[in-house]
Amino acid sequence: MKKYIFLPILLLVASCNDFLDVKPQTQIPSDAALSNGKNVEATLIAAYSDLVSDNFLGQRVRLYSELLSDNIALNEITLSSTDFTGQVALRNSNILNKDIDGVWSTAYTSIAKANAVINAIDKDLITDKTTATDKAKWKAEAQFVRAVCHFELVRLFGQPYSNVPTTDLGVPIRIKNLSADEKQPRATVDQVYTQVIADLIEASAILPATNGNRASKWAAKGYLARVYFNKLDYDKAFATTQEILTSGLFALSGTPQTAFRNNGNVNANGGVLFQLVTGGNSFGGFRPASIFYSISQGANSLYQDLSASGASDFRFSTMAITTDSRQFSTKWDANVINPPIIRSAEIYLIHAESAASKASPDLTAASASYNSVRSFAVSPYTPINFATKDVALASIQLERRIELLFEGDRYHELKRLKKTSFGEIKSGSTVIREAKPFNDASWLLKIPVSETSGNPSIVQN
Amino acid sequence: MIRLFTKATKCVLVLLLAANIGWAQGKNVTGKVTSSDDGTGIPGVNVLEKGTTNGTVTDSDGNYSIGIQEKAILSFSFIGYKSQEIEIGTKNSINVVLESDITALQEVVVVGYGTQQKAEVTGSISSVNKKDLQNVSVSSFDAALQGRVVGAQVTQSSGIPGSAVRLRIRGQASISGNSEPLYIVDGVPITTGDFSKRDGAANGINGNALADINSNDIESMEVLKDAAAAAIYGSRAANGVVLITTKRGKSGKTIFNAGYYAGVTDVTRKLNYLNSTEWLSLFDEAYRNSNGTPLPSTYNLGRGVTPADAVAGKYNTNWRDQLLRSGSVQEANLNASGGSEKTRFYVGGTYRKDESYFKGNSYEKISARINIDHNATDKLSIGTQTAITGTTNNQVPNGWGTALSSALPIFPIYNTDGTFFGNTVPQGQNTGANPVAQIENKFTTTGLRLLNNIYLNYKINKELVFRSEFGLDVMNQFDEIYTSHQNRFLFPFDYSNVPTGGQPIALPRVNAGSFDERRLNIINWNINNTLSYNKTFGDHKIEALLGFGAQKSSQRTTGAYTNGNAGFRDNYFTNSISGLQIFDQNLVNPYPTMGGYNADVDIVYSFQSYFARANYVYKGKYLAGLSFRADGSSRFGPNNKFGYFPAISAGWILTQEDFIKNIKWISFLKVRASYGLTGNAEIGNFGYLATYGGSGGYLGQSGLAAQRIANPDLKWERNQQLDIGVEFGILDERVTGSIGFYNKNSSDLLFVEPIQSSTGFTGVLKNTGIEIRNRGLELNLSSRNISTQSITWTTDLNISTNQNEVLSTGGLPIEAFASGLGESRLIKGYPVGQGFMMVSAGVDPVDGRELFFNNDNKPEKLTIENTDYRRPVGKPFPDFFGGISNTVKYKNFELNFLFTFQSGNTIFDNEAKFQIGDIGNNNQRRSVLNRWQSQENPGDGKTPGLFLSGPGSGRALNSDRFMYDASFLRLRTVSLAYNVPTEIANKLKMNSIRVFVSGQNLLLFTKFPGWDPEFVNTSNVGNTGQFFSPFGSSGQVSQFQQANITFNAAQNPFPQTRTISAGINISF
Repeated sequence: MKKYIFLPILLLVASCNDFLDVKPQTQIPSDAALSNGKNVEATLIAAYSDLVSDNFLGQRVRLYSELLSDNIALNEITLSSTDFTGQVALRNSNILNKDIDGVWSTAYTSIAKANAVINAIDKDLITDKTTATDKAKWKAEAQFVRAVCHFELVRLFGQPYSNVPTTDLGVPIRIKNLSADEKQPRATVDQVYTQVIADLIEASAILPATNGNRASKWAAKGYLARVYFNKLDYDKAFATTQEILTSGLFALSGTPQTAFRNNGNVNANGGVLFQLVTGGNSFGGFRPASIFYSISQGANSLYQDLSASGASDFRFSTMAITTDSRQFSTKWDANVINPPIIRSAEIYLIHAESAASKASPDLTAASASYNSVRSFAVSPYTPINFATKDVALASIQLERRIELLFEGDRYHELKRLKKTSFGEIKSGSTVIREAKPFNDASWLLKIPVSETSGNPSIVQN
Repeated sequence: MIRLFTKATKCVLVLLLAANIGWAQGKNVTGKVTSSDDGTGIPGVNVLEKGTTNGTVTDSDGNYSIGIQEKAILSFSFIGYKSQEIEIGTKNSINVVLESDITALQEVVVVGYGTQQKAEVTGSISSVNKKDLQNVSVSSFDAALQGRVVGAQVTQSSGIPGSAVRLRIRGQASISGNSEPLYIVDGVPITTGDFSKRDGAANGINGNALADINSNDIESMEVLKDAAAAAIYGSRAANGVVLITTKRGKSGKTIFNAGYYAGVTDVTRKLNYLNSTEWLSLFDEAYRNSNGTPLPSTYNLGRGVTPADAVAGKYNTNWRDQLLRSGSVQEANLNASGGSEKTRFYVGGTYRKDESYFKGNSYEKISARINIDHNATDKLSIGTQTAITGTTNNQVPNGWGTALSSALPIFPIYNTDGTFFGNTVPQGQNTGANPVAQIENKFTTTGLRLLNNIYLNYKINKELVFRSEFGLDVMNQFDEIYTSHQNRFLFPFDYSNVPTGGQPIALPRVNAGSFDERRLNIINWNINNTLSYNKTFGDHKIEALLGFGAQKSSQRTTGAYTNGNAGFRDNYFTNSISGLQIFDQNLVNPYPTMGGYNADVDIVYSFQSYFARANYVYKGKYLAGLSFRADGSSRFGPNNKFGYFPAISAGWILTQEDFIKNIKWISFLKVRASYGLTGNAEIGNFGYLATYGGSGGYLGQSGLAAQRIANPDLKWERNQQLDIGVEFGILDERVTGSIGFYNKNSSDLLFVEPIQSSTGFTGVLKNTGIEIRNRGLELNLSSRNISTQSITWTTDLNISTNQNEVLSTGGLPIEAFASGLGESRLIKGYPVGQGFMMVSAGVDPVDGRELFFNNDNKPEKLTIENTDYRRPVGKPFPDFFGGISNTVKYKNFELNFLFTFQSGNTIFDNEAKFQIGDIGNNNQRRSVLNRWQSQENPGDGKTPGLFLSGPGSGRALNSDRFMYDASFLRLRTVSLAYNVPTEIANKLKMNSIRVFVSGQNLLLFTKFPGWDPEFVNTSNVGNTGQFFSPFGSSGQVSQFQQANITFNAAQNPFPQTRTISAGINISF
């Protein structure tokens, strides 16, 4: 009997060969993950998820572009220099700022996922019956996501294209699917723009005209127009916006507020080429009730610009209100907003300014597009015909400021236009942020420690 | 073990003479011989009339009867006990208590997979026995190790019952791996760590799975420290091994032991804060400093409270005292042991309830154990050790941190209508800053733990024994988290009638409670088969062992929680789905009332091991040992599936040599040395594998993303340890002790090596080039200072030093080691967790703002930390630490006290930077009264003025200003016991009765100005092993890494508990 007792024990010893081969259940080994269409699309969705997150387009990219401009009366805010947002606003951030790290890492995470999608399609890793059309579309969407991420990063971490793009450092370009550590230095601003434009041109050629709330052909064209415009390539910006406007798909409709009260799908209210679906309002800080970012008080230039046309301008009469002696915009005053990222008012304004600025100025087109935006907001309105390029530019740039306020445009405009000094903030009589020229290095966000730890040779801003 | 030194030998001659001149006259003497260990009768004791051959032996109950001559001397002797000789005189009844006499030579210690004679051990092992656990009121036995094990720094993370204990044996060697030792109970490597839900509404504090073990069941604990002792546990031995052996029955009469004690508990230390009048006056000062004008009476001080509301101490809430109470503890224990020659048993049960000093927090434990050993035949024996424990932990509610910071003394607890402050619109519609309201929330963790081991032992022949053990450790845990409707507010919308392009109409606010429930199950099984060989021939003694082991553990969690728009309207229905309600009306996208999760299925691992050991003793004085283990684990990458861990050791018992034998005052002397390799396999699961897993979704679709970059080379961390020791006994073992030296080099240390985050990953989990060295000296002394018949006094002292030094950071920059609070880093040449921050240069006497030294050592004013100005400051580990315990016995009284101490380490009091200066948002410690007020009244020169804007407003910048000396000397335990005389006990049909009073943490001597110098910030011990979030911005670090690097950054810790209790132990 005793001998039998040993039997099961010996058996156990013998059967242990694959005992150590334990597999995870909620994770798929990488080599098998992207072999089917469903998983590739899910990876693309995850890339979108990062793109639209509050760390990136959902909030911080746009918020920082306002905080660093002359649009916001920061003296109305008790900004502590040790909070991460305050550090950005006061140009006083350091490499440990977690919010800036969030912008950087989230964008690059999105890029990495986009690269994985592009790699899976280029290398033909998908073995199931996914159609060629789907594959081509996903790849184009991934290129769109990758381009937008690179572009918004280079605008916040690099000098504007209006400075010295061929030597100014932008951000690292990441266009390869990663399997191991790969060091990559910062590319020049021009190199980043070149990559972004290439991606957007390819994407816009493939993407369908409508694609739900995901990137469509027109979303890619819209972003491309913005890129050309920032690149000071007014001829191409004009041509691209011309193509968008002649499609006739993106007429302005409703009121100037309509685009900001949309909680449904893109195109539902017209005039929106690309929007985020957030299920909430990541710009709640701008709402009157929150008393955080006001339009600034009466003496400030934004308020003066906005009130110039008085009660006839919807954006002033209806969309600007006064609470507790502070002025606010109602633009972001709703609980659920799908924030428009590219909308046709911006396309008109790019079109107008590019028409006036391009190699052979076209003041008629400039006037027409300007009038489209202006007449939409101002009533009664008498159309204008610009007599000179200078008048045209001044009017269009003023219009741009009040039309796109709090959408994250102003900072990049000040830099595109090479303002020699802007951004002073006072608390009482104390200057808490000095005015600086557009290309002062202090405007740039610091490259976060998560980047430099892995490659100490990264050049810091 | 308490040894009684008698001066009997001196008396013997006199008595012998007396006996010789006496005359013979017969009489009968009866009595009982009992053991000093447990008061039970000892069968088989030789009772001999001195100088004659007249003798007898005691019966199975220890009774004897002998006819002797008048005035004879009786000698009582038994193996393992000190012989006694007693002059009978005229007495007819003599009861004798024999003291056990296990000398260092004969004493047996538990080692890995067996036992060994203590004198022949060539490794470094510290033993703690059941006496040291007696009368110590701790909820987890590991806390009782403090001050008792040389070389082990034991820190109770807080005074909350059931909270984690941090054990560092011979220093800390890991960065991202677990640094806690391996715990083995009766041969089973058990699950340790904190498994409560920590990401939910309740912050709680770290739990401790070891608290499931009933300390009353523990016979002894052995701490294996060096490679010779620990390497038999291979890849899991790098942090030391704690072997726990539970009590076993002895054949003979069944003995019952019953014990009960009850006591009161309180915090050891309270820090004082400003009252509302003081706070308001200082806020006014801060306002004037910043604005130049007095504080307007309508100013919003926070949550709508204005100076007009708060004036003249209208509300003066001491939030700290609102959360504290006088707690209680009680413990009842009953066990029985005994058996026949064939079968022996131990059964025991304990109930413990600890209502802590913190309102709403309690810990209850009920535990039962049965240990059986049965000799089926002469060759075959089988047995089991099985325990089951149920625990109920009402975890600490939210609010302690708030009570010390953002709950201002000017806030009331209740509004005039009886609702909690914070509830109304101007108050922010949020009771988060009302700690009393937070007590309404509940976080209860109930646990059921089964620890089991069955074995079979077969003596193949005289030398060869086969043993097979199967162990099972099952842990079930149920977390229930309820947020009271008083603390949870929803702001629903009416979606039924949304205007085109407009917004749904806001509905009135509702109070809606929520729940979150989670079940956790861990099954951990283990099998060991060993073949051991023991042979002594001539001058040679050989002990050899060959074994195979396997282990697998898998963890699973499921749970459900209330979704964001659903809840309960009242507190009566908190756990039934039927009481749940959705508050948003006709929500656009239908939203379920409940969500669920199903996690941790990937927390699974296995080990497969082969091990061998050989010990050789020549002539009882030359010792040699070899051990080896091969460990394979599912955690290791395919290129390193197995690790090999050899150790070699040698010893020499000099007292067996003639040239020492003659030195009378040396009773024992041994030198030993060992060298070997151990590993740390607590490196997480699947870390080597590149995988895809769920990621953020969008537009209703779920996302997928790469989780990790593959590392097929991933393996254990490697430790090389040298150990040299001297063990000695002098003056007839009156003073015994040991001196040890060790040098432990740790390499291949696990770390998420950062890569550029622009890759989309933050790092790759690797065995990096980081190297850490721990080396130290250990001194252990036991002394019988006084040893007479009526009074004995013994002292045990242990002091350890450990020098921890980072030899290499593997080329990684300092910032790669940022791990949360306190700016602790790894810097070459400094210890792990070195503080790295700016140095305060005092206060600018003109404007009261704080100054910091820049790199030219010039003071500079800053509004944010300048990372370039940081320097290494403070000391994370003590220069030395240890304990000193004394036992004084006088007649039937026994006084026992233990002091523990540590010296030279610092704590970064992270909250001080808010509580000394950030008056806009926090209540303030009273030390803020030493602040700068004006040029004429500059305060202590260190504490800046108060400001609401500009440099120095908000929290203070991280600097050495908050790095405090944390040296302390603490009276950890003291107990006074009275043993009722045996005669009286026997009359009451008892073997022994013992009554006692005892105190825990009664005294503390320290200069530390914060709450308690004994605490651990992040003491997660051996939890999930989910390592890092490689994708994304959060830059998460493993829990282990936080525990290893930022442990000395205080964040409103719960101070230790002071307990005063009284109780009784009886044996019958």
